[in-house]
Amino acid sequence: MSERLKRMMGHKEVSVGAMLLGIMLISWLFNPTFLSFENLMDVIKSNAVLGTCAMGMLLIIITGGIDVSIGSQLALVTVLTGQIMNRTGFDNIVLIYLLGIAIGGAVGLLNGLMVSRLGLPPIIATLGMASVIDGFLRYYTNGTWINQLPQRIIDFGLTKFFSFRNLNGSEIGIPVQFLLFALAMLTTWFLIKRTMLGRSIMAMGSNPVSAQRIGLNNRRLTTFAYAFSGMMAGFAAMTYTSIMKSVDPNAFIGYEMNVIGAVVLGGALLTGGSGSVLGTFLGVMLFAFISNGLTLARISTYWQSIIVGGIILLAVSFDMVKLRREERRQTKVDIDMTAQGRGVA
Amino acid sequence: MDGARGHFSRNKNQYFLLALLMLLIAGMSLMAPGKFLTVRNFKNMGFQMAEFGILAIGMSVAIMTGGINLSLVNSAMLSAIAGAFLMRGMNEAGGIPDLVIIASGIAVVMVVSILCGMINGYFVAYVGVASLLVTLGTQTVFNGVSLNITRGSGISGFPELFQRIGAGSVLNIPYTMLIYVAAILAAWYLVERTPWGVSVYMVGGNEKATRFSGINTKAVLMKVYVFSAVMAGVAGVLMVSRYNSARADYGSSYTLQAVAATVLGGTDINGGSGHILGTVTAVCILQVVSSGFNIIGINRNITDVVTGFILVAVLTINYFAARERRHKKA
Repeated sequence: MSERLKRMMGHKEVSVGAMLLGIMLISWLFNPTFLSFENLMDVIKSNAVLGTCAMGMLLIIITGGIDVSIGSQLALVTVLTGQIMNRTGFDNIVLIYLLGIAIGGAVGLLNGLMVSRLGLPPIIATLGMASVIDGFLRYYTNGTWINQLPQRIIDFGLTKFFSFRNLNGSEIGIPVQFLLFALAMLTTWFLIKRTMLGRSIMAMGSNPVSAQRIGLNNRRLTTFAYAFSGMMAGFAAMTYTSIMKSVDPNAFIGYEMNVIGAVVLGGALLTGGSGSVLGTFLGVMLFAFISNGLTLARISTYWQSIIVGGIILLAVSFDMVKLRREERRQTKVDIDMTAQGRGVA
Repeated sequence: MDGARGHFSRNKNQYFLLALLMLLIAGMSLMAPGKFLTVRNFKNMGFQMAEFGILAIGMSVAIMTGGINLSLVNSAMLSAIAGAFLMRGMNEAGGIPDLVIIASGIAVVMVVSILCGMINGYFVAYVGVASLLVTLGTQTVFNGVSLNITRGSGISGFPELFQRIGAGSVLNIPYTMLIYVAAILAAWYLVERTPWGVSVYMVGGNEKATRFSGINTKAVLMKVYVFSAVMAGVAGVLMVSRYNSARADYGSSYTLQAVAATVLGGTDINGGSGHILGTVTAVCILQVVSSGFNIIGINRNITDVVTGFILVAVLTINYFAARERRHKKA
């Protein structure tokens, strides 16, 4: 069973990867600049926030839960840290990142406790959290932007590594956001694949009852998953500030749906127990390249959402059809086995 | 799990909600003497409550089957925009009686709603994809189509009579309220008094068992999403009439609020339980809180914070009450 599941998982990533390559090819045919190093780096940079959040959401979806307060968490962290930087001129990059992660983690922890201790359904607990945070933020900020941020965080956001100047004289390099995103992915990958904690969460996600029986503390594992996602959201929020150089409290309305969409496109099942960092990364890139490719092909933004929605529908339907075929094959095998058993008897 | 909670506890929850509503009304009346308990305020609440209440009914039926309909508001706006587009065209052409324009506009709204519902229903029932994912996708698609029709701006220029639906009243009762009551009665009858309604609960409780007991669960689910979309269409008409224009982004915050109202009203998010009247009570509670705060002079945004707290608090109380009862039984 686990062999077959593994094969299926591998297969899923292959199919998402193939779809990604196809879209890259089509985009390249429409506009050759698509495959330029500059454009690729730009796409990754502008989707680092989505990608980082998706890593946290992946862990929650593996537990079989969901978090619809991610957008609110991002907004809360950007606004609070933005206010602190704006008012006090505090500009220690490491400390401000840690602060962001702490705020996000605290919100995530609360979500986790509501789900694991109070037994609230995840969608409801996080919905309540989103409502509380959104109301507070609108009351507190009145929707005004924070523009005056310390120079150091702006410079930090513009940092590029291995940079060189191309023929036009503009600077090309790997943006710092790319590395931050890579760090988030590595951390999540290590957690899921190489730690007892991550393996336990995976086990709990695929079968909570057995997990409990073998002595795992489901409550703690669940709480951790939400707290981890909150920390990732805090991390992503700081990356957002470094890209935008300002804070817009309304920037993340409805953002959680993009994050969930990307994770699911990457092959994670909402029923829990499955999903991978690589798949999620491919899902995020699929999202990113579709909209970038459509923009480069000069297709109106109004069509973009139709196409993106259509692709989500297509991808999840494809998964379902495949799963059913798999199930049917399994049933057949079962029948064969019983027939054999009778023959022997 | 559901058997342990049983029928009695579900009703207990309803009375608890009703008591909470009364308590809130009493509290608001005391805090804003002579302002809250007035005909004018209740009339205002009636105007505001109807469109959201009808959307919440549409959401409730989907949640009762263990699903969810995130595309609710977007299908409402898509169908309303299609109707608005036709009404504006006919109005500009001139010479067509207002009543004919409005009737054909509403007919188009209903046709598009049913189509939207059938798309959701097809993917959920016949392809078998989780409704959260289907409606996440169709939400984006419907919104994209709406934006394509309106080019991001609003559609207006309807016959004057159309505005009366959202703004008029008879004997101090807003028309929107009458439509809401009609929607409640229709939904209550369909869900709690017809074979389809019974199978809605059954599908929510255990789909496989329902299928094996000879019920066409696919058809049941298809009807659920069509019903949900039709409710959305009605709400869309009310919204367009109230604002006298149609835009793709109207009511975008209603989607998750409708989920909140449904769950607050005692419907289990995993399906199989719940009452239409519970959702109605929950919508009243949310409206009393927001209107009351408005009158007392508390910032509108604090209302959202309090709504979130009420949601979490009520569900927590339910959880501990259910656990208490299980302990007593054991």
